[in-house]
Amino acid sequence: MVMFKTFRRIAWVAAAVVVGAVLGRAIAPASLREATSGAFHSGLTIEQFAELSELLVVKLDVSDVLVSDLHGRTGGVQMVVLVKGEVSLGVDLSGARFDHVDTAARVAELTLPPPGASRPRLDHEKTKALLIQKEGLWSLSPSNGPYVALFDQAMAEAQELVNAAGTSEDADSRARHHAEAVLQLFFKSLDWNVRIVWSDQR
Amino acid sequence: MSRLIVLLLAIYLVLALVGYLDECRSLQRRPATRSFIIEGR
Repeated sequence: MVMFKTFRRIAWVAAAVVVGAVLGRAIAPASLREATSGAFHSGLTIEQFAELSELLVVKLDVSDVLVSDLHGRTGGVQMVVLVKGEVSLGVDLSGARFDHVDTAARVAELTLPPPGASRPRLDHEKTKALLIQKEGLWSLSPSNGPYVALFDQAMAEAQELVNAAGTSEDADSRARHHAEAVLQLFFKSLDWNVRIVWSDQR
Repeated sequence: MSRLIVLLLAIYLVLALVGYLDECRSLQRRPATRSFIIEGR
């Protein structure tokens, strides 16, 4: 008789647990149920991929020959420089924004600012002066002043040349393709289908 | 012969002086020192 009572108590407790579980499942909000299944997503944010900005930078090697000259009325001085340098092109993700985000379909549109050139620098180990010579009556003068002035001018022009390479159409196109490829790979890994749009091409 | 050498030398010196003065005039129109960016922007 005592055994029968114990079994009845256990049966009641078990029934209460089962009823509680069923009711809890039915009453709980949908998002909580999704969270417990491990598939909860709050949507995309810029902060999620802001750390990728370093990966979006494209470094371009620049190599060119620069002819710089300085002329007076009776002569001049000319310098030919082999310019080697590097310029970086990157996308500023602080100017990026998401439009038309559909969390259910996992589809979004990302608007990016155009890539910009930064940090142009001359490689002073590889940049070489190939020729420096005076012309006309200047060649009769023993002064070294024109060489010094021309060297300064040529280095400033070389710096400009490296920077200008970063603003070329080809470099711009390469930077955009690179950024799109990296970001698409990132979003694919998150199982999102994101369309990338450039703010200057809308 | 020696007159010819003196004459040529004088012409050379005059031309060299003209070239030097032209250099000085051209360089005076430029700033004495220039600064330019080596790295960074």
